[in-house]
Amino acid sequence: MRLALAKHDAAIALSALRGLRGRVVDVLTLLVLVPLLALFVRQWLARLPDDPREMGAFAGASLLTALLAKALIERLWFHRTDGILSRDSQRPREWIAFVAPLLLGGIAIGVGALALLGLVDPGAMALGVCSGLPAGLLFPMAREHLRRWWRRLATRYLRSLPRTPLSLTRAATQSMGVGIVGLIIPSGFYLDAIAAGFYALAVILLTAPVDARVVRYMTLVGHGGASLLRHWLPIQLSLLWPASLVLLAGQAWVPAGVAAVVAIALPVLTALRIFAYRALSRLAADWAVAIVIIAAVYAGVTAPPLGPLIIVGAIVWLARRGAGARWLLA
Amino acid sequence: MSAALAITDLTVNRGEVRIVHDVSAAVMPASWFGVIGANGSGKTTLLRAIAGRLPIARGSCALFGEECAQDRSARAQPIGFAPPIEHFPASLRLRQLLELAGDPVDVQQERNRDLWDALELHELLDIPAGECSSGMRQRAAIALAFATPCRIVILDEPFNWLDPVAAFDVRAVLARMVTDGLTLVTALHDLTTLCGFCDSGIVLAKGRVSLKLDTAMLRAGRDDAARFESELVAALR
Repeated sequence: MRLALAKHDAAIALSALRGLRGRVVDVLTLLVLVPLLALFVRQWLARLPDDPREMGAFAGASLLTALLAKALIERLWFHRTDGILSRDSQRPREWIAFVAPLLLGGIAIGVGALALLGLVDPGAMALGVCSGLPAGLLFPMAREHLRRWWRRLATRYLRSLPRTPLSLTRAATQSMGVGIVGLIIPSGFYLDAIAAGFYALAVILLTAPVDARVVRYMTLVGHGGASLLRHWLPIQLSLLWPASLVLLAGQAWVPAGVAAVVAIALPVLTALRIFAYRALSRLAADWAVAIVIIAAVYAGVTAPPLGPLIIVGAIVWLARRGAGARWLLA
Repeated sequence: MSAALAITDLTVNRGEVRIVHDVSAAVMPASWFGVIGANGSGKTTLLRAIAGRLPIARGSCALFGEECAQDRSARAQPIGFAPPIEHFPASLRLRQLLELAGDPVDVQQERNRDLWDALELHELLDIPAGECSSGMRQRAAIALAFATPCRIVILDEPFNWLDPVAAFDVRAVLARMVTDGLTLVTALHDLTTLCGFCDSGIVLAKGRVSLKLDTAMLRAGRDDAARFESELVAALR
């Protein structure tokens, strides 16, 4: 047994670590912010009753294991099809020697991290690991089968839908329509607010994703900050603001409140992510955004005016920091 | 007539390492300038710096007589440049890549009709970059350099990954565009294009100019390819 796959990936990981060592800001971000975030989460979890903590241990272990198993399966597929060691990866001994230690080691680290956060419930963790493992192993295969099924069965019209951009006028009209429907729906059992919430959730799912590689590409071909915002925000604003205004005008306060919160928060968080991806590496950007959001929510609860200030301050700082990246091809 | 592009004692660093040392050259308008050199000789770094994609550490860089060595945007905006294909986001279709880089696709197609035909780009527009082969992405990269109207275009090894037919057609279209007024700067590895199409050029070795190639030398190279190749290889070593 040569352990070729494990050695190959270990060399890549070491090289990535060496690359990170040269990026002082990213290392500092990780070294300072990760322990701070962990401390904050641990403190918050310590105040929770036992039941939600057990659920947290179960969900955390399940999610971690599923993600780890999915990543390993996808990496193994890469080795088998496109990797330079595809011959080695066909041998059961080699791929088992690659997957098994990484899976077990990853689970041990994940469980250790959960224990550090104060989520120490062995039963819930074991259950989470057992349920996450098949989910993570089956997910890539299920996705591949779904894709094949979609290509074979979906009509040409259905397949072309995702690449047909929604015009802003049409989006605003649809949004107004949703607002009017929200006024018609009875408010008993908060049905109107639930409908507004589902609509807002759909808008979030459709328009919130920001691809870091697209941000980098747009910056590389010369887009400035305003242009980046113009690429993502108008569709969000067109889909959310008309509905909020119609609901407000109709004095449906609860659904209007739900829609307005999303109409304000979604574009602001999208702007935060865009500027973070432009200014920082993807890893550092994801951490920075998570920490800014947690800090803003915490500040918003303890000293309300500080929450929005933190978000605005972070956006301005990131926008200034990333301004020099325009056209840059490092 | 002032040069479309004039660089004097240009020095470019990558991090702490000096890659390009005191390079000087002048490119006349409506001409094809070739940069040839060994792997790692600094061709890509030089072209990226001229195109405003990397900062210039020292020296002068003038576009049509306007000095812009210390202003990256002033170099990047007027120069068409093909981004490296590995920077294409896998999720975007080639149509979206082109639109994000310049004019609407219809306008680009109308303006660069011959080039698009040579690249057979129409058939590729709706394919996500992640599903494209390297050759397909290289075709899009060449078109991206012409996404906005530019008088100077820089292409870094444009014929890599292209099949022989596409390379032949694209070379012919680029030569016609040069005749019509385009100033083209390309990094190259093949002597056929250098001798057959370029009007002038430089040979880079370890970040320095080891040989300047004028029109007469390149024409002579066309007539006596073997002798030209041996001279060039000596300069590259």
